[in-house]
Amino acid sequence: MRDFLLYYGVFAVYYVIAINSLYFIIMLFSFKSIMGILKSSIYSRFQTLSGSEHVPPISILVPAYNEELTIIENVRSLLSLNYPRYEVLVVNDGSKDATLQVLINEFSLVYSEHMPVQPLLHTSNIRGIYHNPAFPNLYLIDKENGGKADSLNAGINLSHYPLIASIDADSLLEKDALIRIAKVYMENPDETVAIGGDIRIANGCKIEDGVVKDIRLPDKFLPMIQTVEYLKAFLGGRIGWSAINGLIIVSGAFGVFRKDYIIKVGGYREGYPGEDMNIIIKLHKYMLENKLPYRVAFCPDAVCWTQAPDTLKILGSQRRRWGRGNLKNMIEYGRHMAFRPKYKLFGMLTLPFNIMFETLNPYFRITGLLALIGYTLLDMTNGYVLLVYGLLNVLYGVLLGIGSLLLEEIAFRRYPRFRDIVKMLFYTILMFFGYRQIGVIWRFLGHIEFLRNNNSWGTMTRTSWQTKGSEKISSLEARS
Amino acid sequence: MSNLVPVFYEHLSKMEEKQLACGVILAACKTLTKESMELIKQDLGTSSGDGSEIALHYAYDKNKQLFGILLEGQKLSSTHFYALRVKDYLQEHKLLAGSLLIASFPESSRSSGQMLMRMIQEMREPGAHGEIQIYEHNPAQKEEPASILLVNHDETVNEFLSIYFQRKGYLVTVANDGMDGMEKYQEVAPDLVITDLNLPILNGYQLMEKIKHISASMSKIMVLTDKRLEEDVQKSFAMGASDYITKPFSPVELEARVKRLIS
Repeated sequence: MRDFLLYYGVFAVYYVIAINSLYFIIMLFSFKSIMGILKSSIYSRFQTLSGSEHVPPISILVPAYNEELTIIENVRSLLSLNYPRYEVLVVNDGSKDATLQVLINEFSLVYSEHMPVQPLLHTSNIRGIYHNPAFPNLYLIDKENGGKADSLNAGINLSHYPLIASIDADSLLEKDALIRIAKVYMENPDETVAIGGDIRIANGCKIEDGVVKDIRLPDKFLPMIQTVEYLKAFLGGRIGWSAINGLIIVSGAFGVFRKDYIIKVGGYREGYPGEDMNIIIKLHKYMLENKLPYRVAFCPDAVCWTQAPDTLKILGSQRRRWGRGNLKNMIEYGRHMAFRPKYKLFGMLTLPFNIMFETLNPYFRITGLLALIGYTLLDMTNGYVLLVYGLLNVLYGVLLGIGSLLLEEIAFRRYPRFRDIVKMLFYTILMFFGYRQIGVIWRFLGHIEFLRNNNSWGTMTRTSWQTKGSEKISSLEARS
Repeated sequence: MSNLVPVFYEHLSKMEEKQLACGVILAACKTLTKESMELIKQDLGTSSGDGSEIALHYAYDKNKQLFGILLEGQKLSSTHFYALRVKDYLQEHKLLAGSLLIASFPESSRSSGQMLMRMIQEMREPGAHGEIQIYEHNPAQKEEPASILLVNHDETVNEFLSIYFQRKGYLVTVANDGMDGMEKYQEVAPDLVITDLNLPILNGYQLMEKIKHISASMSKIMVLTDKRLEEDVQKSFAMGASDYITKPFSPVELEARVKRLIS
């Protein structure tokens, strides 16, 4: 028994070394490509591009479910992006609040009977489409509740342009974000099937008239720790993965896709947590099976600001949902695609990595820790093994965190004050004392929920941009 | 000071009070004696040549050898016509020594006193013999310089254009975003607004709409932008823009277009 615990504990130590080493390699790829990205973003003339006729038009899809507080600000800011030709399609997913009415009143939208819709993808019943010629590039689709994926599909059916962008109704796009992401597409329009944008936490920033005016770090603990967590995930992780074309997810909060391929893979999957990961896996699968050259890119200088949950309860439900989505995707696709040479790098590296280190992470970590604790309890003299396990976790994690902070400071410098850098560094270290462990447990709980077939969205609290903190509404309750 | 000034000034200020027109003719003469002055008064009389009566006042400045006539209630055109007669008469009597200068209040200037002083100054520069010159007030001091409001998010463009236009003699106000532009517009009420369409907070279209909303006598609006889609051009003109220039732009061309719009 003691031996088994020891061997398992040692295995857990090696597991931690392996996972972090791989993260480290990925981050090296990030460092490798960051200079190129930086230069191309410095020397590109985005202002000129934003008025050029050669930029492809984009349809922006905004699924909205109970968003009456933020939706106006949001649409207003989307209507004033620096982009030559685009349309905004708001999809009201059978909201129970006044989302529809608020939009109709604000923009004087009129029910239009004969709006041509192509039935490309199957969706829930559409109740009506609203439009106002005074806002020629704004459309509102009212449909019965069907979830986020369903709303995106409905948007695709109505959209007029070859590229689609999906944007969460509670996020704010920087004015240049769309043109920056379009530039990445234009560099290689034939092969680029999806591009993800950088998501950053807006809690603490001053937002006026739909524009982030003053970039500040959040004051509260949870949003602050998510800020460094996101930096690490996006800058340290996704830049690297996109450099080797192994990106497995483009955030649902902001991504641009080629509409023709989305339709070819059957659109977004309904009633599915993690629809954003699902669509990317399907794109990889389709392109690889048809032996088409492609790439899934990441554009770190196209920034979308989003509100992070600031209570443990909401954050927990979000993370459990992520865990659920990840598990479901891995069971349905990972099983068939992992370790199959046919799927090249995606099947040989990305998926195994995801299964081993994302999906199964809680099990190895929790059981490894339990084994080491058990071993230590049985043999009090060998407590140092537990210490090695803990230290490895923390040191490697801090190293990775500092790496991503370095990336941020080299390339973007969104937080100019020195105090902010110190604060971020502090939280990068702090993250490993408690927060990470809770995250592992949430993911584990998500898996349990999945196995018990609970597919609800959980609650997500929205705070109005305008009346910051004063009013809160609960939305996205039990969507399925 | 010329002694013409006190003689005419009383009449001129009376005219100015009553908002009546009044012509002035100055002629460079050879020395006139009192007798010859009387003779001229008699010969020229009070009739304007076509029979109608005009109230005329004569004066002569010995030091400067300036002969002046003031014509009550006469506009520039009739003053000009009368000046032909005066010129003929003086030439006939071999009294003319240089050119003539004519003006009329209030056509030529808003202040009759200032007009007279400047005319006397101008007479010092000798013109061709017998030429009738029309007094023109100096355009540089005519009125305030035209004012321009620049609304652009690009600070480099703002800085460059404001220096460029200031050197050309315009009053320039700069705004960085649509909201700022709106506030500055209300403050300075400029003759011309040069705005971008890509602006934070309020975009160019919203700005134009608000400007149209608040001022009935709309300032001229010029769009200076990166946007080169036909829709944008069309929409801008539909919303009341007078001109549309795309970046990159030539400052010389921009200034020429500005000049055409305001002046």
